[in-house]
Amino acid sequence: MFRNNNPISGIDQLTHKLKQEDERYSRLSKGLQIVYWVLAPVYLIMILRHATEGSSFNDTISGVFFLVAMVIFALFFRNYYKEYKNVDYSLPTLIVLKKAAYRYQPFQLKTIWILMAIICINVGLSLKAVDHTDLFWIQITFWGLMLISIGIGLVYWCYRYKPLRDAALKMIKEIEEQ
Amino acid sequence: MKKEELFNKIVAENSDRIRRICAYYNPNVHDQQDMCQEVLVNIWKSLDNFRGESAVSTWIYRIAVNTSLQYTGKAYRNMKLLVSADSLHLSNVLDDADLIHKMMEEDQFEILQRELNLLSVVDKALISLMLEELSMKEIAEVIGITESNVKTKIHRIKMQLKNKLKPNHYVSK
Repeated sequence: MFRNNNPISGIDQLTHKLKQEDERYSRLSKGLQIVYWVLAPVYLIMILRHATEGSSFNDTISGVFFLVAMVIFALFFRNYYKEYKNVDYSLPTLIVLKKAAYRYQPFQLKTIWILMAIICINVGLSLKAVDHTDLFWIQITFWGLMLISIGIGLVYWCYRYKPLRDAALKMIKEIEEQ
Repeated sequence: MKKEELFNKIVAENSDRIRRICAYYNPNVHDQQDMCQEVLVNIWKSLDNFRGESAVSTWIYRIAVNTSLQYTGKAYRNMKLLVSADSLHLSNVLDDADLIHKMMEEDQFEILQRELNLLSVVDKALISLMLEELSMKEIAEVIGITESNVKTKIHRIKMQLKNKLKPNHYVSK
């Protein structure tokens, strides 16, 4: 990416590119926040308008659940991106490896937030169901799609991240043993 | 001091260190360049967290070793540790300058190289830091374990290498 003929020469060019990267990341991060802070109130206004225009109670509550899910997703991915972008390589090797092993595990404590957002979407969709049969098919389709998504995610994890996690765990064990 | 100035200063003062660490892990110049670039990128990324609590050299070694583990992590099993006959402080590895000298004379240097590459990834990292003549305390700070644990590990590696490099051991092979 920043290749020169001599690894340490051309440092000015490298510094310039690194600064550009930082600025690009900063813009992207701000952009995400702007989208989130603009869209959330817009969605809220729409919910309030539906409520005042006499839409059903279920539709209004359903909108609230969608809004909550959107906010959770926005905040989660913002933190997720930030965390991955700011890996500190100057920590002791053992800590870096432990953090990597945690990062590369398929389910983390913070995954609960994603589960909560998914449940909010499910509740939002269910409140829009017209009858029990409709509700039944919504649930079958929704959880079916979720299972397929989790399956694809796990296959991708096994291929892409499991070897890295296994290697990190092996090194942690080796470093820690006397 | 601005981030850019600090970065340039740190890199200028530690370029030899970075170059040597990269050379330990990569057989060809092309890969060494790629890894050096990766180390520089990680120095830049970590610079915001630099508090000056440890020596700059220790800080640089941490980044270099962590990057090498991550960089070569694309092929952990194939990770090599390359030492040359003129590597600084090579006798530190065996505590036996005579044995090293004898191996050179008998053109058995590749046996040492082979045995080094049979070591685990972590042991290779420890050896690379020893070749840089870091003290046990500094190695402990880089890796994040106690000094006594470092001493134990290095003693074990030395014993293992010495046993394998005993003249009758490699002659019989």
